[in-house]
Amino acid sequence: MKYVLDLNRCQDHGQCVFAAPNLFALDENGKLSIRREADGEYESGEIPEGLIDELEEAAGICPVQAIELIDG
Amino acid sequence: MSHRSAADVIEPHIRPVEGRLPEDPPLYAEYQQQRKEGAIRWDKSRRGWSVISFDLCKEIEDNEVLYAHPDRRDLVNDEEVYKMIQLSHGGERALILLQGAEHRAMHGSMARDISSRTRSLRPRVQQLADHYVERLGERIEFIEDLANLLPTAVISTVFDLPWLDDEQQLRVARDCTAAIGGARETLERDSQAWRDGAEGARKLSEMLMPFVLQREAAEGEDLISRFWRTGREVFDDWTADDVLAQCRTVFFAGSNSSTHFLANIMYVLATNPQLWEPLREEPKRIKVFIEEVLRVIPPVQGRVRIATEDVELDGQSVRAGDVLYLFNAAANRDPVRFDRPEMLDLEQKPRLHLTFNSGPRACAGSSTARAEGEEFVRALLRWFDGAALDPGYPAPDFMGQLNRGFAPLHLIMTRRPEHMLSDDAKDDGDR
Repeated sequence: MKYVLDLNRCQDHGQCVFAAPNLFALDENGKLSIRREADGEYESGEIPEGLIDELEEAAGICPVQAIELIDG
Repeated sequence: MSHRSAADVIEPHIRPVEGRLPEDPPLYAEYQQQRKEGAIRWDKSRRGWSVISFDLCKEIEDNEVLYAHPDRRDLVNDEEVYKMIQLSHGGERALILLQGAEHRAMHGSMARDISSRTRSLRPRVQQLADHYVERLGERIEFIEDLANLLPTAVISTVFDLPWLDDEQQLRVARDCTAAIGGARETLERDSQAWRDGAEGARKLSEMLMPFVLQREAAEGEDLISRFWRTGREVFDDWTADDVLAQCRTVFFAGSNSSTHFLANIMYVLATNPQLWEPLREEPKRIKVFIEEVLRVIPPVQGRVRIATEDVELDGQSVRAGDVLYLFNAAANRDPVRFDRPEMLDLEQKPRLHLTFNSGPRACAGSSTARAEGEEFVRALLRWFDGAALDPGYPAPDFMGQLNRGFAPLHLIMTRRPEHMLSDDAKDDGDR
């Protein structure tokens, strides 16, 4: 499984960080750290089996539904 | 030689999947009127600033330092009023009343607890939606027959409370609504609503406290046990009263607003029969539909904030202490941001909205509300072919104040033929 994160939609609420601390982080300015390497849409690589549960959690919790899961 | 007319050769037109309200509630005319005057204006009757643009609502909601929640202790001058606020929200450490770092930590953890619990109980939420939808009759009043029952049943499930019968569920829903009314009445001090609010709050606490005390060991996966664990991570002196306050907050935030949410979904479906078949055929559209209902006709019309400093907003001088009414419902239809904002568009990705608020106080239970809405629509499509407003009754009003939904909602329901039911169970694997 992969995910696509829509960084235009993302509002940096950071709830994904609580749900999936191994996949998402906030930087020192409170912005999602992925923003350093991407803008627009960020597509992840294949997510390891052991992290899929927290990824699904993050997708569900995101208040603006910016994380889309893609079955690989 | 014969000529075919133009009409004969036009390709069959596939109509876009979209809907709209037959008529917008009068509030929306007010929003439209204000758009001509600007994103923010002084509202004499509300004695505060009315804010209607997407960008400005979001800017204010995102900045808690400049624009504080109105229940912040130092902003409420009257001690008796503050006591009522505490009572309505469940206690002095209820999430809504926390501030700064404590609020941030509890908010993130509680949102995670609620979302994770809802996800693992998703099959149960589906069962509950099925239970309440399947038994609907041919002529119903939707609020009494379903919308007041399903939200408290879902909350009871995530808390792992014993099953309540309809009468008990309705009592809980009534107490929640009264408690919310009590909190709102602190602005006006209407004595009857104040008394009803206090009484509703007391009854809810009485019902919940034995379970809070029973689960102090915090070993379970239910929300009460989780709130024990989460609170202890943030506070050294976390008590049963504090856990109770968070439980009450979930009832406060997730009952009345979800009732309105379900009513608004149902109203849209009853007045847009063209949406039923596309939703049934492509269940992926249900998510988009839910988001569009939340955007176009939100169950919570807005939020209130207090300016903590003098500030210039879109050319207006807002003074420290001024009240700001943020009409997210108007912001959700801001023509600067949205093309054909009044249309529910099921053809594209869901459009971003402010219904769950933005910033540090974004709704911590949005995942539960979404799950409930989606499972309700799935159940409805499973058991019914259509619904229409009952012509024997006046059109429903858009009832409430900040929380609003169509009520009473008298409907005529068309049940699916028996032989179609099992087919749907097969088709509904897309979840």
